[in-house]
Amino acid sequence: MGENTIQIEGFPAPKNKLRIICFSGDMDKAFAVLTLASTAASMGMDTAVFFTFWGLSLIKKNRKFKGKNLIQKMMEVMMPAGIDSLKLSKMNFAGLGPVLMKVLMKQTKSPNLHDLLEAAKEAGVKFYACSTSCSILGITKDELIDEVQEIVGAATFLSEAKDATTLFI
Amino acid sequence: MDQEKEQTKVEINYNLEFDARGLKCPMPVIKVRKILQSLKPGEIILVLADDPGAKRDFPAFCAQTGDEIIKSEEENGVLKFYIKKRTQK
Repeated sequence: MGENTIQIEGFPAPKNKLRIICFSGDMDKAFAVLTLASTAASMGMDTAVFFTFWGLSLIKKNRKFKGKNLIQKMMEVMMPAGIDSLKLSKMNFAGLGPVLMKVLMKQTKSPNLHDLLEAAKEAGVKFYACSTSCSILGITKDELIDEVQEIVGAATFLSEAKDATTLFI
Repeated sequence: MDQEKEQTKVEINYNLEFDARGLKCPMPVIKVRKILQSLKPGEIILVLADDPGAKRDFPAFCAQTGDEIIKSEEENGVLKFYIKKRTQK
């Protein structure tokens, strides 16, 4: 605990390290992940997000079929192409929900997922992708945004997350 | 001369003003952090904000980063923070 840590009444003192496991590929949960990551890094916390399974949709650049087998190609079609096409975990209404949500964000001048992702990159959030999820889905590093530093395994993440506040979203 | 002195006692001189009104959490904090990075140690920024979360967010942010809020006030729903960039590190 450095001397820069604070104690807000009713909350335990935060640690200076935040690790988020982003498992979900839902739009609403992506807001939580990117809001917390960008804010933590802005506050000077050492911040990293480990994207696994459906969460990989947040850091995909675009669809890619080359080098994938038949089932992986089918998965590629069914999964969101990237952060712009995420679904809502509730009230998705076959794609109408996310559209309405984007309209609401604009109306209330709230940051959208793009703003938050850019803020996270700029504030120095580290991005990792899960190696097993990537190999199951046939995803290679060139399909992911350039900020993804490495494709890593569980042990690497866990040792990285030592002494950190860790969230699973 | 004396009058001038009195004035400086009440008003804080700042180097930069940033209007974060209309920005929603977490953008005020993120934008201010970026501006603080471009300031020299000891320089002061005045931040205007109207997001309800900002009231606690800026004190929490500064406590974490080591920057200092020299003064904060609220006027007609607008929060004003005078933030001094930390001098160490």
